Amino acid sequence: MMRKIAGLTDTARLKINVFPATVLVFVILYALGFSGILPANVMRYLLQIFLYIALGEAWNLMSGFAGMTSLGQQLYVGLAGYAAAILTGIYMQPLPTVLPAAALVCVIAAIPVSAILFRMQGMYFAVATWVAAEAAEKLFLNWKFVGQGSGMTIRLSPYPSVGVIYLLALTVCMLAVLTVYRITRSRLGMGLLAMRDDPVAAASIGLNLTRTRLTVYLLAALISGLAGSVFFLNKGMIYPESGFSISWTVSVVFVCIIGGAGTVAGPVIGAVIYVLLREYLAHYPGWSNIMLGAITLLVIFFFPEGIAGALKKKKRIN
Amino acid sequence: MTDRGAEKILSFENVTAGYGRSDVLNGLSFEVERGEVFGIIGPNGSGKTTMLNTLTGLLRPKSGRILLDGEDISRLPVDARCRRGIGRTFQIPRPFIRMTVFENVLVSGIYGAGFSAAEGKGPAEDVLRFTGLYEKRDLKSGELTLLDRKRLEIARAIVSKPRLLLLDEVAAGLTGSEIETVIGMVVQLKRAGFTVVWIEHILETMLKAADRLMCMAEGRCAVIGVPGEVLASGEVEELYLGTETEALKHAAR
Repeated sequence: MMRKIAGLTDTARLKINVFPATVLVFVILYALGFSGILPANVMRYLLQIFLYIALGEAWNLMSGFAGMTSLGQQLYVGLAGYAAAILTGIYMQPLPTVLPAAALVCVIAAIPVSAILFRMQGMYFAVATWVAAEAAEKLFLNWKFVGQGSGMTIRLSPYPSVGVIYLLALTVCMLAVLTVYRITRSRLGMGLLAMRDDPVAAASIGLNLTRTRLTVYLLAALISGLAGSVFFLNKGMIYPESGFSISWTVSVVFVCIIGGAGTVAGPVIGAVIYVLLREYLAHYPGWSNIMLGAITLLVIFFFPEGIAGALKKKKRIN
Repeated sequence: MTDRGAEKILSFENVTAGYGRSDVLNGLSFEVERGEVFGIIGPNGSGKTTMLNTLTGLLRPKSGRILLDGEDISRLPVDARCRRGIGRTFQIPRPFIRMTVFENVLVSGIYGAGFSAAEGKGPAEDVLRFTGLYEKRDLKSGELTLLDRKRLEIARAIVSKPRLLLLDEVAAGLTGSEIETVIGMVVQLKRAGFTVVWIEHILETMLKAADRLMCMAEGRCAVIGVPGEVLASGEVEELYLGTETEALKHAAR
């Protein structure tokens, strides 16, 4: 499915130069993590950035590249968090089992959910994704097995240190970035762009819309699930409002719009800005959402393709 | 219905199709011969677009069969029909506007013919030369003029070497000289061996390029034959209220 595409235009070729730099950054971040020289609070900031990058890439793959705008990726963040809590708290599974299993739960759940969601398109699809996440929240809120509104605690003994969680978040981030990067350079990537621009025309050139949508949806669920499980591993507990809150999608949309939807670099830039800005604005309670909203509007007005899109355009012009 | 002993490539067998409870095609039957340019005309509401939608898979027939080289394709989805060898253009061009002209054609070759990117590059460049778009291959397709968008539609459809090429009102919205360009392109397509099914509202174009012509009315085949005879027939004259056919009879002479 993901055969490499050669001979694309300048826009695609620019990405080749970025690749070694990206690999170098990941190597440095791993070295910093293994060396233990980073203070715990810095690692906590960084791991938040890594997880928002992963969530941003997942949302971007669906909404930015494939044109399947989702308002419900929190469904898989919450599901993965609960899967991690159940696997550790009830079935006493070790950490190496928990994260892949939590992501697998998301992929399995995504199959029947997609069968319902794919009956809708455009705005209706977006609203339906949100409704699915809301339904999951209500289900978990009333489910005794998962502690209803009180939620569940993630129990691991010994509990992983912030250094370990940093490395896990970095790995999830790297997997997300490389997967989306690879897709943009593949047959599937070209199909996604065609499908985003015109699904009817895309089908008429031989693209199987259902299979393509399903591939993207399952990949996004997998990445969101991996990020969600690490996020709640860091938190230590989960309850329905924290797992399935729409604020996940609001944050991720901010990350992608600021950074640049439809670009691999967009969520990376957006996540760095978002986490730093959120920490800064936390000192001004009540203003943070107003400020984030105002910044989003300004970026949409002046850089409709986000920061990554604007930089790419500038490079093309030069 | 083919009486020239030629090999038939497409058969509509008593096809009924429509939207909801209303039927637009009412037992439509016709055959297309390999290598011909088969024109389809008819007044508004005669079922031309519905016929095209059932042929491409956008609409499933309620009854009857559609055979492509003897294979029943009536129940196949749109993408599968493309891979079986049906290429199409749209009346209002639908380019992938954020892709370049070259990428539009390449992606079509990749999905339609199963080319790898490397394999698809050559055929994509060939069809861009054929349609006169080679010099514009690096432009975003959203920047093209209407004529060039129509050319792109043809390029995108033929890169996979379809067994059957469907042109949906490819001359619509073009100026007189641009229509001549399109007619020339259809003639070239025929020479290149393509079988073309061409729906058109501008009847003059059919006289210059079509081998056979079918006039549809009320979801059925009203008249079928060589273009001059069809356009001169009383039934067609009646369907078009004599407004265009007088001029066409003159042109046919």
